[in-house]
Amino acid sequence: MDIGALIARGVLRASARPRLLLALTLAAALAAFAALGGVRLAEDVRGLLPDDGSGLAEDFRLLGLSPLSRLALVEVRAAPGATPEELAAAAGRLAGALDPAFFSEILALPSPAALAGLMTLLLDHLPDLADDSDLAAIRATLAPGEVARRLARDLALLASPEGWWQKELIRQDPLDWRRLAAAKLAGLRPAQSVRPAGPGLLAPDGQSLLILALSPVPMTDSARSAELLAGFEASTAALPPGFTAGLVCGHRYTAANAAAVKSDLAVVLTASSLALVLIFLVFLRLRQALLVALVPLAVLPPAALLSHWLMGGLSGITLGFGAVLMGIGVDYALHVALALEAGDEPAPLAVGRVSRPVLAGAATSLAAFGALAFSSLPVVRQLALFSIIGLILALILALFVLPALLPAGTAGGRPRRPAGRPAGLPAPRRGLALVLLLAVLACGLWWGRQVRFDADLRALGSRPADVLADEARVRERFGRLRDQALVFASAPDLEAALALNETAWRRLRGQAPGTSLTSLAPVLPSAATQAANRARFEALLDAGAKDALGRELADSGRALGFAPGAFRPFEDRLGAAAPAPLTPADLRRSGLGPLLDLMLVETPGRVHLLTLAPDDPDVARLFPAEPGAGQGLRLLSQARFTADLTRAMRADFIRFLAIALAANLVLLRLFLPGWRAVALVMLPLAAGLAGLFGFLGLTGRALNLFGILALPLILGIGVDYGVFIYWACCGRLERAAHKAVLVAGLTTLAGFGSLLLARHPALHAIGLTVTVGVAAALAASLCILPALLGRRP
Amino acid sequence: MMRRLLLLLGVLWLLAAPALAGGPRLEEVLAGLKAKAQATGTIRSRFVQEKRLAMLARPLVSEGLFFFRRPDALRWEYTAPVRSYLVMHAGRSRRYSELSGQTVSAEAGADPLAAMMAAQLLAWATFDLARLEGQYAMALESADPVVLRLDPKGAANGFIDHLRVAFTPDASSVAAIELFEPGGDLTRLTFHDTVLNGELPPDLF
Repeated sequence: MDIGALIARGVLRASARPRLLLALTLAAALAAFAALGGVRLAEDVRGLLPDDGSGLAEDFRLLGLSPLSRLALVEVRAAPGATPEELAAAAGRLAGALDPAFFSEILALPSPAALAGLMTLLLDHLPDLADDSDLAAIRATLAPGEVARRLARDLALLASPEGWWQKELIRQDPLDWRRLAAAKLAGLRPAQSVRPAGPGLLAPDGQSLLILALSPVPMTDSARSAELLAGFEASTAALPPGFTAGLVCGHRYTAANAAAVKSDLAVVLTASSLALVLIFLVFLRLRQALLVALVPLAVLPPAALLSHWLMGGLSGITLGFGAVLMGIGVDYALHVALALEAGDEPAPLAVGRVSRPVLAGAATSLAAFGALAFSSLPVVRQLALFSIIGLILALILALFVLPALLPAGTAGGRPRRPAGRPAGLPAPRRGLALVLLLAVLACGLWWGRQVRFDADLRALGSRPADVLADEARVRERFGRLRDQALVFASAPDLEAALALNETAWRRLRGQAPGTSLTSLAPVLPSAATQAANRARFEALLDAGAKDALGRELADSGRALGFAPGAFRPFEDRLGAAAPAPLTPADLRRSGLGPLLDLMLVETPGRVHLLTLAPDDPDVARLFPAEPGAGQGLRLLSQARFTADLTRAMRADFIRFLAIALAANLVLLRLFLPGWRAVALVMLPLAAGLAGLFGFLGLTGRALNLFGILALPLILGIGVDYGVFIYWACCGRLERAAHKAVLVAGLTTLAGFGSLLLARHPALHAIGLTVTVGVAAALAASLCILPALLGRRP
Repeated sequence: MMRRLLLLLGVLWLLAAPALAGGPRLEEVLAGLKAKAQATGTIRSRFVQEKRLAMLARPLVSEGLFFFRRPDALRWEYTAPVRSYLVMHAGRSRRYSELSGQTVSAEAGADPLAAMMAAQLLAWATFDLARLEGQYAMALESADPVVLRLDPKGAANGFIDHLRVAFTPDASSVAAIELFEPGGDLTRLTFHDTVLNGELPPDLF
């Protein structure tokens, strides 16, 4: 049986009880809406990462393990003329005032007093830590005459004011081996020019101090982020007059995004509502307008609820963006409503006739959204399911519920116009239309080749200038604390992880010399390495060498005026039995606990050690991205992450286009009489894509993730317009089809065009992509396609 | 009998009271020192430093020069046996040692050790009462000449057991500082040829 007849029969049955139908529809929508109230939307960005085994999701999981992802940087700025000591005191007051609910841990660095203890610990373990270059330096201090020279320097040091502080260190280390230990500690500083002071790090100019704090507030929690920022502002009241403080953390972006979206929504909804009301008032009757508008509203809640049940969760992106995509659902209702308005035949027949192009359009849109289901990005797959469910529900409402509520003949029995263009539209010439089409396609091909994919997730969000300025300021004074690449050395146990960490350190030191690194490796090698180091040290300073050194210290010391036994602590240490290998607990007791918290992470069955390195290609080359190639070492780099995500998005894009176009061709061939018709129907889509990519290439804009998600909409809408115009021009639909396409196009442009007023980059990008693409497709449908179809019978 | 005894005690107390209260109180001495210190714009002085340390067989004697210009310019220079100096001015520091032959300059806050040393030397040698009162508990050991004992408050200065600061007879400047360390080590600084409020070459700092 013909599909139109089937639909007509269904409409006939449904029309028997219109009130019941309306009540059921509203009840279902309201029930679903109520049920959605209990659904917690996922705000996790992991949905935006491919789960195809490419390693991006694993990278993100590892990043989540790193305490650095929870790091908040508080910059305290000195009052004019304030000394570093006053700044440290002010920062201490602020650190004490920070609310633990928002800043659970202050990563205090070792105080100068603690550093002295740490130095003693490292001197005790110098034989365990000394590598080949250290041993060479130690050997140099034992050269003839060098001991006497160093003791003379010690004497001068003792005479100076520094002598008060250094006296005990000189007794323990007359040959100044502590420089070797200090060099190892320097590897733990995030920037070489900063130094610990008060509760944080003092900038080289002494006018700015950075407090490192960990926050328990998830970076994606917009409400708590706003509370955190308010709490921080309240804490700054503890600062003395003239001192100021700024905060650098991901929460500022989250709060800024939420605020931008909130203000954008007010603007966008107002603008789009006004535009829609105007369009509906011009083109539709009140009853039509109300019922047509009801379709997407009635469809959204059940579609969201069903998606939640089927996927086991619902992303905020899916709901927000899916609701926008569902705007296409209103088009079906429009076509049906305007077909009924023509009113020269009973509603079932009118709906039956329009159902064929409606179904064809819906099938192609469903195919387009179905193609998204092959994406490697979970949130895109969820979006595909949500859209498919929504479109099917919108189709059912448009074909069966709407006709029951909107009787035919509302146009007052106006005679049907012959097939072809509606009156009032400019009559395009076929040749001109062809030239225009070819020009659009050529532009799209030419400039479209230059379109880039932008996978930087940060670019999808709002990035206020003041936040960026604060970040730049902290980066300039304290180095790249937040934008570093991370090398993860992961192993089942601490010993293996330490060995891997050393490998990473050696690789970075050896093949990317001069790079600024922060690593535990110099102060915490594996037990095996410590044993090997000690063995080499003992070989250099065997019993005979130690005796000789003791004699030289005594002789040279006596000559310079040192008392006998002045360096007893040094000699005792040299002669003492080897201590147990240095452990994280030893370092923790010596004031390095906060650094260990940052750089040593334990998870069930795994130990991870982190090294911070510059995020540049030289470093990236040392740690290949292929799974397994890193042998337990994995580089997490924003640059590589973005590059990998770009690759995944490009692959998704190509896969989507291939599947969607192939499915569209097959489906259209089922509905249309031949391939020529299929080609003609696809022309608006081709013009839409060409217009979009030409525009993007010409203006140098990149296609981001949301742009890709908007493509099915352009694809579905473009084909829909082609189908309806084709049917109308071939005499299978009346002029209402043109009006329906025009109204549908205008409503889409009103909705997405209003997004151009948004400040939020993602909303703006969606608005721009869809507006440009749909505008080109609509223009091609109404002006070019009818001209090309004009000579058809 | 008892009445007489009480009367005698009363007379004795009245006679003794002026003698008991005769010496100036610490607050008065400090106020006097503060007033004189505030009137001092520059100091130029020679010093002899004698260190008696357990790790040395004999005292380590050094000689040097001390320059100060209000509010915060300091030059602490050893001239013998090894020349070295520490200069602090407007928060910036400069250190030099003949042994290393190197001069190390640093912006404010970049050389905390130099800053700490300079702050202590400045406080002691110029008797910066505002700073010292926060760090030390003071006791008057002698009023003429003024000798004060300074005991560190808390454990902030772990290398100091206590200080003894002696002033010139007219109490216009510090004559000597003795720094006693917890292990019994002693550093004595004796200032001489002190000139107050004289011209200082600008390139000193």
